[in-house]
Amino acid sequence: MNNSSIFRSIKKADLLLAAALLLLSFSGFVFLRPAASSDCVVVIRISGRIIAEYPLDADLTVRIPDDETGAGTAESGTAAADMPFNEIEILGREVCMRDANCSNRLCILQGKISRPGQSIICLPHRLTVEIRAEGTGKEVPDAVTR
Amino acid sequence: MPSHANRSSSVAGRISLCAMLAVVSLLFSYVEVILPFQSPVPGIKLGLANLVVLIALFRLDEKEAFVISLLRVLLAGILLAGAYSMLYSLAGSVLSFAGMLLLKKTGRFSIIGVSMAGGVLHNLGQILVAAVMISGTAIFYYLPVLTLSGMTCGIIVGIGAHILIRRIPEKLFPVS
Repeated sequence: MNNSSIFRSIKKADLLLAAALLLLSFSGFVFLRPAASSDCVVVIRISGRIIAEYPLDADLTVRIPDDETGAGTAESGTAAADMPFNEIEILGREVCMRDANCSNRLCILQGKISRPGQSIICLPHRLTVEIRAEGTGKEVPDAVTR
Repeated sequence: MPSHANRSSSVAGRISLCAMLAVVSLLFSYVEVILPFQSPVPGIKLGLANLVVLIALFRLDEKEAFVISLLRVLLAGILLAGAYSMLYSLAGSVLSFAGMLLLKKTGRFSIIGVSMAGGVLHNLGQILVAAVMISGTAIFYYLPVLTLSGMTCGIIVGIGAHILIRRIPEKLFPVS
């Protein structure tokens, strides 16, 4: 078997095409991923219970006054400034914790999330913000028969 | 009794040749099915059956190559896979063949390049059908992976075709 005849028969057009296809496929990695966020939902939970859901597409800031009951109702006799709160911002298909008065403010440091499965957690307030993909039921087949 | 040189150029001879090649292509598909291969992504195939189509494309009439491809899809769909698989395979094969034919006609691509394009287009055709069936854009996440695997397998099959195509006796194929 003559190996060099294989390399000699490869033409310039082949290499150009290969390069173009490689470029296309790698740019696909970059461009296609963010497209999923159009169907995503931002789910806010306190102590595991869902208290609010917003579409990822929305641009809004939510202030969650949270207490142990998770209902967000203010207790009488408690000064408003002492109420634990978290401020969650959804902007440009990204979610971040704008502000919070928890003890360590780690939730703010967690930065921005934008893709399904990601989450921001405020442990002292037992609050989680996560992105959930909608319509996952019909997206990709789990198995394919031969 | 017709001599060897004439046998393949008669109509009956050409029909027999195409039928034989279609079956060989089908056998290659069968070999692929029984190869143990765990693929994380559905739709990754070596595309060995395309090897026959390639050789036919470069050595026979393009219409005959197309018929061989169609026959293979039909037979493999009936014997090996299901009706849905056949739909995907058909879409992939038609798109792949169209692209391979175009590239071959420009004369600027080697058989390896043509095979590489064929592999990619085959996967692309399958993704397009899947996008219609599943009606979601999420299926296009597979595009980069399938493009790469289509290219790689196409190149491998193309190298095989390149090696084989010179070793087939001339008198088997009619002078084209």
